Amino acid sequence: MKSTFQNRCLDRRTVLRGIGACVSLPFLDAMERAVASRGVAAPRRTLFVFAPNGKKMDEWRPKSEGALKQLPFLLEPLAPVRDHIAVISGLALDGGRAHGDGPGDHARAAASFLTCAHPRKTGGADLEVGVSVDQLLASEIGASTRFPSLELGMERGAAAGICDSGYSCAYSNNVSWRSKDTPVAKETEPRAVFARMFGDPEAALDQRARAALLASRRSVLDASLAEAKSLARQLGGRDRAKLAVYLDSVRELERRIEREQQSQQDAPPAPKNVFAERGDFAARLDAMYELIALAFETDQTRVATFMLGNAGSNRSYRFLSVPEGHHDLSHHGNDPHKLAGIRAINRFHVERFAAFLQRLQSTKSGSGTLLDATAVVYASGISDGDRHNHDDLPVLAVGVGRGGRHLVCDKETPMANLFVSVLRRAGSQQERFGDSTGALDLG
Amino acid sequence: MVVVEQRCAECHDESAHKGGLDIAHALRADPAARLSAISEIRDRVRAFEMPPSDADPMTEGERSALLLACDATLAREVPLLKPSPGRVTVRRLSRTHWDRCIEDLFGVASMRANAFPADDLGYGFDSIGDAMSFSTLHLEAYLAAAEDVAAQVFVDEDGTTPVRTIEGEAMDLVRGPGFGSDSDVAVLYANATIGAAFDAVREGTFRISVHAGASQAGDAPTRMMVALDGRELAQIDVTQRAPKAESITLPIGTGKHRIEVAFVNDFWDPDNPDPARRDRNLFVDRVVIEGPLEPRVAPPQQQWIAATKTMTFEAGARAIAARVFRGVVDAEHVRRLAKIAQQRTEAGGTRSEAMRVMLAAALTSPRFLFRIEPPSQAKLAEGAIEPVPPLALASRLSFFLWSSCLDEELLAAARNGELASTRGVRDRAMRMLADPRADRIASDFAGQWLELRSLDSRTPDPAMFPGFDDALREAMRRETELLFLAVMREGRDVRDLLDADFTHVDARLARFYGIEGEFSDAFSRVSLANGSDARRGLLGHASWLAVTSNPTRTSPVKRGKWVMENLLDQAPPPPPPGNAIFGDEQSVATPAGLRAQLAAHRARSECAGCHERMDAFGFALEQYDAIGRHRFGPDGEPIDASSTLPSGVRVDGVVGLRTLLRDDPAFLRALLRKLFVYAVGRDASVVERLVLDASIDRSAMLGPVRFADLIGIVVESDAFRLREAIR
Repeated sequence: MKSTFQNRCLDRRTVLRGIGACVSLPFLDAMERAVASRGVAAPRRTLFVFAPNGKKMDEWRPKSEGALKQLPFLLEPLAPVRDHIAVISGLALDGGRAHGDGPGDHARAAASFLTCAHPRKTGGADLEVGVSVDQLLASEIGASTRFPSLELGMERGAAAGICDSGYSCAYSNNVSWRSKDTPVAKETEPRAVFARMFGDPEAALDQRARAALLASRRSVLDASLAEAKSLARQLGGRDRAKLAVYLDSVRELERRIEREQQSQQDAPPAPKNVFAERGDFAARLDAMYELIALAFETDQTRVATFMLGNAGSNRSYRFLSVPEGHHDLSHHGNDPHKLAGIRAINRFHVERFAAFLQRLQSTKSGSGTLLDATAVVYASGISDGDRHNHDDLPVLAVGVGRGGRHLVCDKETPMANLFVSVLRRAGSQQERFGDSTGALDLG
Repeated sequence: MVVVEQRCAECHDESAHKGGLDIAHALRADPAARLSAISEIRDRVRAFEMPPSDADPMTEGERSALLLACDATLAREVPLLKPSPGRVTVRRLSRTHWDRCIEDLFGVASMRANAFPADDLGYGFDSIGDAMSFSTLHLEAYLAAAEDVAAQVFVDEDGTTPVRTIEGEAMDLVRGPGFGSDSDVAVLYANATIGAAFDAVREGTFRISVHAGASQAGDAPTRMMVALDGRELAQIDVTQRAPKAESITLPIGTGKHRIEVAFVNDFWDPDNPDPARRDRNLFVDRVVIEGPLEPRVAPPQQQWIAATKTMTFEAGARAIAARVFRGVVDAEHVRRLAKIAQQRTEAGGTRSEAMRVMLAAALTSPRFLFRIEPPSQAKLAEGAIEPVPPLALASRLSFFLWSSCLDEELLAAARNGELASTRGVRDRAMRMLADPRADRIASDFAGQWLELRSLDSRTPDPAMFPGFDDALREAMRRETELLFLAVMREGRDVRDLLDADFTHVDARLARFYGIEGEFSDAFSRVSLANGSDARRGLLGHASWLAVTSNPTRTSPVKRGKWVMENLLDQAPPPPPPGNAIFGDEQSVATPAGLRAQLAAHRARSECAGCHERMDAFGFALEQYDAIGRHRFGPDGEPIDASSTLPSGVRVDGVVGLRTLLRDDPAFLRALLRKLFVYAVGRDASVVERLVLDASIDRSAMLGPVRFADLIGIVVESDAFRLREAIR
């Protein structure tokens, strides 16, 4: 039998607690305080990036464990920020597996991605998976910013059909779940994201008009709140639960407007890519990353999720000379042409991600850079798109622990363990999450 | 059921348990499970899938005896089943419902509805309460759209033309090194573009006047370019120094626009002896936008608005509530709305502003955004069956048949007890079906059932399929909608959807299909009675053939899956436990190569179960390419579009598939089930499915099945009219 000590990647704290030695805790906390006291502690931001359809693993996974010396082809663009990156191999999303539910790996990959739970197979009724790690974090630290969390993506939902083999589209199109049965809708228009945070760049309201608008919104929301409360008293069961979500939204929006009425923060100029045409995917992707950076920089929120595509996305990347659909290509069957397409798409995604990290690095926050203050998990819920396997996932962790290395975990180490580490770093007191068995030791 | 036990129990017994079925056990189970097993047995035997080829074959006599016995049992016992009507979860208005309600209530459209988050689909439809989520993002979008609608309904126009003045120096720099300002005038000292946004409250003719002057240098006069929304309107030579108005009159649509003014021919001649001729600059004093120049004509849906101008806020609130809340007006809410209006005027707002806030509040209320079916007044035990209250039932009808809020006539029908009887509900539904608003069923139901709405997101490789654009997408979608409408409106048998001998094309689609004749931008019906078979019925429509293709090639698997899921409502069976691997087709250049690859694929036993039927259906359509064009092999030879079903039945191309599907009772059952799910807002239970199947089978025996018959079955069903009480 294997003892916990031999499980690589298990956090030292967990190991110590595992054998009943809690003494280490105050010591570690003291250490953290010492680190913080060296300068003004910047608020800690956390971002989760979902990449659809897996990766070309032979060119993703570094050859050796330990220090990141030679970067594999797909990770080469990360060279300038190498010291911040931990490449983690061996993590698994057990919730993504069939467990007797048959096909639907893509829907399950997205649904389990941040929940680390197994979604109930349903085309609509009784959605159920679990609370996602970002929403858990938002519920703990979200009240200190205008937006408890931001949910962004590059693709709107499907317009018709069943998204994946009997799974409701809610599973394929969302990674954020505020409760086990309620996904959080994502924003996919860069321009609308900017307008949400900083006001419509084209509305140009003067002070008086802005004040009147906010006041009118307050009274509309007050009425809605009263209305929903009186309705909720009459309704039962699931109806009341649906209305409760409405009530929560009204309260959240009221809080935000209240804050807006008090502050006079000047809006930053709108990044030019925000106005990019619908067809210009690359520019819109950059715009979304820029908006996340702006949101963190101006402390609009400290928690965000970003879906580079919906699960099983079949987008064609023509500007990379890859006209075929991404999902179609991911079933490569080792066909060299398809593999070349996948390689180009994977590399492009990493290039844009690397540029985003450099943008964070070039921005000051507290006594360090915004990159120092941000934790990012960039991963896919599927490893090899052709096999649909949910183990040995491609995972990058930034700012969660020591960077510049390749960490190889034991097979079947839950992705949730990484999330426990992320939660702790962000100041959460959670010790468990999803199917976690501990926390990852990221040094 | 002796026949079944004799013939099937050898493999399907307690120990062998093949296919997870133990006949003896199934036949002793509760009625629902028992009848659903019998229904399954009947279908499998009927399709020649059972007994399998490695078992003793059935004689024709045995086969018909078995089918007869199954049919008789189902016909006798299914009507005795009492499916529970269940309880539908409160439903948020879908984006489509929201749009249509606003259109019907106020006669306006809000562009902001485009910004609503995508609706969560359940069972392929956007009308499933359980699947539809709500979040702060939704609320923000609804609120902004409500404000937008309110601004279009309660307008401040007093008969004079609205004028908006934008000072030059207040405009922002779009391109160029920068611009200066001198006594409120923007000085463009180098080539640069400045711009500003403005709103057009409604569409109409606008006059845009740019007040500009210039300094001159060199031979050419100073040139200014004016653009709207990125489109150049005019190049104007500005020859005088003092600002003078240059006007352009043009039609502009409702919504946000952007005006831009550019200096395009900078010139500098420092050595010119005349200091006044050295530097060419453009001065923009202001841009004045007047319009719409036409007086506002309120849409007919807004006639009631005029009366609210002289009402008390309380009465105005009641008028709004009566419409927006679909007949449910409670005094408390009216007071609340009136109070908001009062507060607005106390804070210095105009009367229109006050009315606007009230309307925005009503449109943001959960009573508008959610379809709430109020609890009954009667004290019933939990789970007792009660009729859906009349107003809620009227709403169910209007959202089902019109995708919209109820109107006053329907409201009156609900109030005077017309919907109390099954007959009354049916009659009302038939009258609603005759209304033009019922045309929306084509885009809202059929558009989702047949996945036509996905056409927008399909992006065939432009190198392989040049010319595939939005206009073609739209034409393809319209063709299928028009076939659906023809069947619905002309009382045709719904199976005509599969083999109508006509279709509808505009000039673009006719060219695309290679149909000869004179066509215009409007769609017209063409007979296919004597021509090629390729475009007869749904299966030959480019719309869904394109939806189910990959960007660079066809996918027989996706097409087969589409046929199974949508036309037969038979989801592909899951792979056996432990075989979660499911691959897709490999990359191959030719249809023949693809066929070979898939054959290899099916040879893997873990794939065969799903793929044998799917692939067979898909191959029958291989004569259509990835955007639905009829195609041939490299030497002009026909493409092999034949295949064999697991039952051994051969399918020969689209014609064979069409016949097969038309004769399969599963098609009618599938259409009815889909319509039921769309209308009721939840999946059908096992018992409901049996009951629906039995009623459509009965209907088919009596003669042609019209779309109205299907509507009738749905609205008469317990699930539509009744519900379980909750306490």
